[in-house]
Amino acid sequence: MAGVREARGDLHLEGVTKTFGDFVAVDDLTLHVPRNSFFALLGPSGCGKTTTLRMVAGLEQPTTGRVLIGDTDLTGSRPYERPVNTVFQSYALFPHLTIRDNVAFGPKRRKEKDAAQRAEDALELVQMTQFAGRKPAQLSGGQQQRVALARALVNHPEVLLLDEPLGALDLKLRREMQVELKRIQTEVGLTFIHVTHDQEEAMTMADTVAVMNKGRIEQLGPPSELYDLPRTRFVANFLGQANTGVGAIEGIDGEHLVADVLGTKVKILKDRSQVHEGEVLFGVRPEKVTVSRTQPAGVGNDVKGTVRDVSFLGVATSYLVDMPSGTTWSCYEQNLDVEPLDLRPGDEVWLTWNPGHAFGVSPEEA
Amino acid sequence: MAAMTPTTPTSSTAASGPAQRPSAARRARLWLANHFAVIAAILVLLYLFLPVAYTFAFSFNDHGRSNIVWQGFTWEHWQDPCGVPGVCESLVTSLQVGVISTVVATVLGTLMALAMVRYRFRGRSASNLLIFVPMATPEIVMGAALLTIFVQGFSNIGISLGFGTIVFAHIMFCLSFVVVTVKARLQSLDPRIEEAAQDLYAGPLQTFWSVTFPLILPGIAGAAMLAFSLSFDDFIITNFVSGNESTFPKFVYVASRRGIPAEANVIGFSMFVIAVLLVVGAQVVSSMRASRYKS
Amino acid sequence: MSALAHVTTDPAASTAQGPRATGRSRTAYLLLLPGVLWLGVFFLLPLVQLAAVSLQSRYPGFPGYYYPDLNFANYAAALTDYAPHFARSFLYAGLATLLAFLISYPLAYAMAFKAGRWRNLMLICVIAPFFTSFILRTFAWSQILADEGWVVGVLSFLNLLPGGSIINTPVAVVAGLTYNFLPFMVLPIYASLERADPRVIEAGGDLYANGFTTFRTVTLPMSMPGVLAGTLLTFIPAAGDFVNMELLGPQRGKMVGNVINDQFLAVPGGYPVAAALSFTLMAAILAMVFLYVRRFGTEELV
Repeated sequence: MAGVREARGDLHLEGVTKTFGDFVAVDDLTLHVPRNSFFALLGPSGCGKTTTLRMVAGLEQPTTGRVLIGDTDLTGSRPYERPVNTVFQSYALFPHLTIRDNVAFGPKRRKEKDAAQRAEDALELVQMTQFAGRKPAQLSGGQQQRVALARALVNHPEVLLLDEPLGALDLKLRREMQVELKRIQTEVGLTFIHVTHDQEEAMTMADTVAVMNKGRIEQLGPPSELYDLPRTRFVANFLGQANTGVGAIEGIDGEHLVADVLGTKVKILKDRSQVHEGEVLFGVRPEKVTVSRTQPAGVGNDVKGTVRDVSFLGVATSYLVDMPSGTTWSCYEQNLDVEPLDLRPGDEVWLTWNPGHAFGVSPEEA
Repeated sequence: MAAMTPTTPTSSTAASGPAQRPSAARRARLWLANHFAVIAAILVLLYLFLPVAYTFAFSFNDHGRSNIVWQGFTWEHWQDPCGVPGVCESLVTSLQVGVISTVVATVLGTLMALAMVRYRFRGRSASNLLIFVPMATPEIVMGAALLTIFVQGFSNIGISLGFGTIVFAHIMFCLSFVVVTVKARLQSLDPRIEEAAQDLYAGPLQTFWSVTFPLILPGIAGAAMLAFSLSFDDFIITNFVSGNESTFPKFVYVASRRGIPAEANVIGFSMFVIAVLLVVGAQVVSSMRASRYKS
Repeated sequence: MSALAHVTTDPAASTAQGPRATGRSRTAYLLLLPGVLWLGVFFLLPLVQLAAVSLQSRYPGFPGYYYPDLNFANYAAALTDYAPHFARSFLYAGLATLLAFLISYPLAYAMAFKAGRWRNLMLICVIAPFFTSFILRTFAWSQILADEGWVVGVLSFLNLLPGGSIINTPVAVVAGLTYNFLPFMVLPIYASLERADPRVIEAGGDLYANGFTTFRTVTLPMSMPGVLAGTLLTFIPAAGDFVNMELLGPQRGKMVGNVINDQFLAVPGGYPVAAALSFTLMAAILAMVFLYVRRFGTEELV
């Protein structure tokens, strides 16, 4: 292990900031990733997620702040001194070396005696043994991706970084590799940090997802929690779809806030709203909305609209409904009924939802 | 040029059923228009080789005092290319200068190219300019400038015109060409490949030798070939800085006042053949390698 | 002149990525140091010395001896006495560049779009003649264009040669200059055409139908970086050349390169004026290069 720092434990980023000239790529980021977890950094391009990853790898140094694994401060150390390996977006396989030599590259640099055997084992793990003698250019994208993974895994890094590793693959291969990656993570039990802009990919694979925007983490938590209760407008819109409307909070009714949104009174559970007075951005997920032809009994939490589009998806039917306020809501209805609603564009419908499913965030974008 | 082909009704005649064939003259014109670029290219290639053919032919000329007009066939010059005093000595000097200049210029130029492509630093655009300007300076100006400094400046520290000054000058003018050639290769190299090596525990030197160097080697080899041919063929700068030393081009130039001896044609043509064989050989080897990968 | 460099390296590797700062500047300076020192000592310093010499004065009565001075009369002499030489240099070099462009373009075009598997062979054929010595090639032209040769014979027979002679005329000089710097024109144009997508040209053909319009509006603009590099690489050495004039040209009416060469190497006491001539030539060429690059240029010339 010549030159490589011994470091075991959780990954900590403490107050990490990275600026390029005037541009703040990562802004005072503090992050704790437990050992052996599958952690996803999710965000649009330019949000600072790749820069964060590169700082963990040592390919960039933070302008301020610290990077630690366990109790070992790795700030300032070079990439080759860190027990961290990366699967690059473009794979970055060495084009002049065979697959076998690509995978054995790390163990050889660390002067491991059984480098060749370990390379074979790693290739077996990703089911690429039969291609060991080829050059990268002779492999397909999916195969190259597996080799890149094996080349990183073979070193048993304390943290494995994945930089949009599935970005270049087609949809079917992507699905396969998502399952495969998850399997391998469970099997080898390493800390995986997965950078992606694909919210579906992040949600299916990760234990914990951190949504990044403009160099900051907007929200962090298990995928289900982020989806169910987004805490910012950005998260609500970036992670899945949300039907939203802005309105003023008018008062409190027991456990609920009451707000005037889209010309109707809506209720939001107090602990599901980030703001308790003034303007609120009310939101509800498409599958939580029920479509009916007549106004249901009860007060509020319903709104009238005009059907714009109906798509039959098999398990569900998706409706796009134009609201009087000018926005368009989308709703998913499971096809459970024997006689489905026979709705056509132009029909007037009522949308309702259970107030327990609504959420409220500040209408301001961070 | 296909792009210059005048518009023709061929496609419409084809569409409109059994139309009559265009006339012979028209077909000839069409054919010429379609193949203009290829015909022109072949003519230009013939033109390029014309002086080489003359050089070759006149290496067999049984000339007397001057080798300008054809006088009769002889093998004599091929049997003893060194038969004329000075010609082989100048060739050896040229080869020595070429090899030394190529090695030094290639090493220094590769280092510079690495710095220019892989690093951001203060003075980068100034360095770029310093590399570019020698290529935009006429050789005669460089030769003149070197002559003045060698005669009026460096002579004070014991440097006099000769083999050394030729090598110094050749390294200088080869350097910029090496830098741009290697730079082009480096720029086409994905920097993430080097990052991957670092990420896989290779230090800066290990990264260079195990990844960067093998990948830019074709560029370095190309740069070295370019440097050698520039050095070997240089006359104008050499003429200024060589003093009494003679290189092959200088020998030929001096001899040209009286008529170049056919032995110089023998050597010049042989160098041409060797160079072509080397290039073709390299091509064949690389294409064989490429086909081996495929199988 | 990336276009030329591009040819000498693997033409397949053209997926250039922008430079990326991956290291520390101290290493960069160490890497640059030897080369920069070399260029400093053997390029910049000599130019400074040349500038100094161009202002020196001669010791009267001692040819070959000079003292430091600010003698701008050298420049006056250079510009007045040798203005015709400058004019001829730029005229001949300009003509040679234009001819080289006209000859090179069809060849480069054929190599890029028509050659198919012959492409590498053609590339070798373009470079190969230049492995014979520059002087030998030029001398071969003096044989080809000689009064007894077939070129003159054919042209005289066709009554196309009123003067009766080509050798020792400016025509021969321009012919030699054109020939000698041709690959510097072919290779950059080829490199830029080779990178162009032939489908774009076909699309141009669809849009305009007229072949010449396609060429003027699509093909030529796409190859402009190559044309730019090629014209510079041809014009600069041609303007400073004296060998073609010496071997092929007339006794009188020399180019500025011949004057510089003679003043330095044959005329005793010629250094200051020759240095002034060199400096003027370099300044004129650099000025032209920068104007030209600004007018037509791409940013990434080097």
